[in-house]
Amino acid sequence: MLNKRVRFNKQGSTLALYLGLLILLLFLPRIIQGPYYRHILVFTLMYVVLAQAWNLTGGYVGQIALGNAVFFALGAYTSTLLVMRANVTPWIGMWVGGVVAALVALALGSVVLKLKGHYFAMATLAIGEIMRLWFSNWKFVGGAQGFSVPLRGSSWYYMQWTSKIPYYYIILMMAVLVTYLVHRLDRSKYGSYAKAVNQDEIAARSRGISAFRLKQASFALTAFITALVGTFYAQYVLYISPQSVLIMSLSILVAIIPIVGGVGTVWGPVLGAVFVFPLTEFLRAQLGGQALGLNYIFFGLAVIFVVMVEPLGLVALINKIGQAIRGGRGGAHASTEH
Amino acid sequence: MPVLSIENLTKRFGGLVAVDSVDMWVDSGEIVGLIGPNGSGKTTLFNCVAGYYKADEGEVRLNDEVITDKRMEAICEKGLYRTFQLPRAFPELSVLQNVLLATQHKHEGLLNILLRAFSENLVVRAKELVEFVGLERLISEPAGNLSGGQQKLLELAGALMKEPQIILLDEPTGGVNLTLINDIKARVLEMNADGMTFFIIEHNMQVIMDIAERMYVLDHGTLIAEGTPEKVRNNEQVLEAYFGK
Repeated sequence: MLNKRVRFNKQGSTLALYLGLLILLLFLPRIIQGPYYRHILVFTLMYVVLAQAWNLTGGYVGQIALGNAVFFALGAYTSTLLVMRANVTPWIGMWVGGVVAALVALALGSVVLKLKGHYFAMATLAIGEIMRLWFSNWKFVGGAQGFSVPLRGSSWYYMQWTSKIPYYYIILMMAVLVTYLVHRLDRSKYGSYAKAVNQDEIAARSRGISAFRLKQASFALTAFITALVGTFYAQYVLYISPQSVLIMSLSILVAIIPIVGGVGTVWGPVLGAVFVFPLTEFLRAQLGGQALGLNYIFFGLAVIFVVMVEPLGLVALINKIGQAIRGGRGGAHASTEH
Repeated sequence: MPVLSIENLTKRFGGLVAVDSVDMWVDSGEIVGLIGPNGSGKTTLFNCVAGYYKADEGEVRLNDEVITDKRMEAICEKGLYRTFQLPRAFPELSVLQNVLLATQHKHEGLLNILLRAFSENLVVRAKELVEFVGLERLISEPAGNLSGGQQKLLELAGALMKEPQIILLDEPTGGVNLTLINDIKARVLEMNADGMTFFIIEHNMQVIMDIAERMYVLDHGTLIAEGTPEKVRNNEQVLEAYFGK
């Protein structure tokens, strides 16, 4: 009875925390003024979604992908081509892009997912580079110059607005939905099977778990979600080219965020994005103009510092701090009892 | 009809013949032992049977169905469950989750895996099995915190969760203290009394002689003896393989 009440109270306070966080996020654009800061908010949320997507393959089943820009670009190019050539709304284009990316992931995955560890990472990195070179020389997709998405003012049909606020709410909704999806996956059979495959693939297979099928499903889901964000990016920035959506730094940043936040966890990509993206922007603003690459050096040092302090990421660090606080309170409580 | 039959099985690693034209069978409800000195090819044979290695020659049948070229997970789903010499529990998952992972996966659709949690019936069954192997106090503990012997008991619980046709145990008492050895022995005999079939590699002669009805002896990849424990114990070739001429 007491246990049930404790569990109910704990669930209640967790729900209240999430609700409070959601209300804060809903009002954040009212609190944070100015296009630059709102842009940081939009991009931070965008990286939450991208990192959550990466985490399904890299964190849960343990296949470290370094080529997710491929799926991001497929989403961006598919919806942009559809709107430019066939006047198809990006609201539909983004789903088409998602399906295209998922199919490409299944095709690529049937080969590369047989590789493990750094071999898989290198293969995905190479695929990203091959696609960047291919798109840079392919006229159908605008070659190296890419596309400027035609301006339509503020239009729901074309997913375009002159203000950043609608973009903020769209990407917030995507971040909340994708985080909830990952939360559900974490608690489903998928969560247990994926963690088992990650910890010991042979043992998982010897228990009848089809590791390859699980990896393929994760890779396709990663690609699908990443492509949805690709469309959002194209409609937000209104310009895409191989140099903006197919760059290696995007693939690497998308992997760094969950690693800093905590791989294979629901909240790792969220905390990672909230820490990493504003940090990159802050360092770029402060140091970017002083010496070429100085901001990257400091960014690298910051990431190394965090990973050295807590190799399991910010989620583990916060858990430890929480336990220490509860332990301290428990200790104080116990001492008063004595 | 045997549950498991192995015909002319051969496995080579380069010039080394690890398993050489071996014929064996295990009948339903039997406990069959597989012994032999270190390096005699016992684990290699298990690896070939369970699909971890691809045999170079020969055939393995499970309930008369050829499983020689099937994948490890497919063989497991068909009813052959194997454990490992060094227990391979998932260290970060709880004892209960470890047992649940061994549930039947044959009819699980992808959407079911992605969206559904383990059903209440499965959780109840897994809890019963954890209790059966005496690990109920550790049910929520990460498996990595268990001792080697406890992990072997955990593997037994997992094997039962799968409800297989036959369980292949690779040194179930290796590196385990005497109390736990007796526990493992008792559980195996109890499961066998309920009709479970076992094929067991074991170095602890006392244990295997006590529980096995028949035994096979391998030496340098070749089958050198077979029969009841009594017959094998008195076989000169077996004594020679273990103690030399």
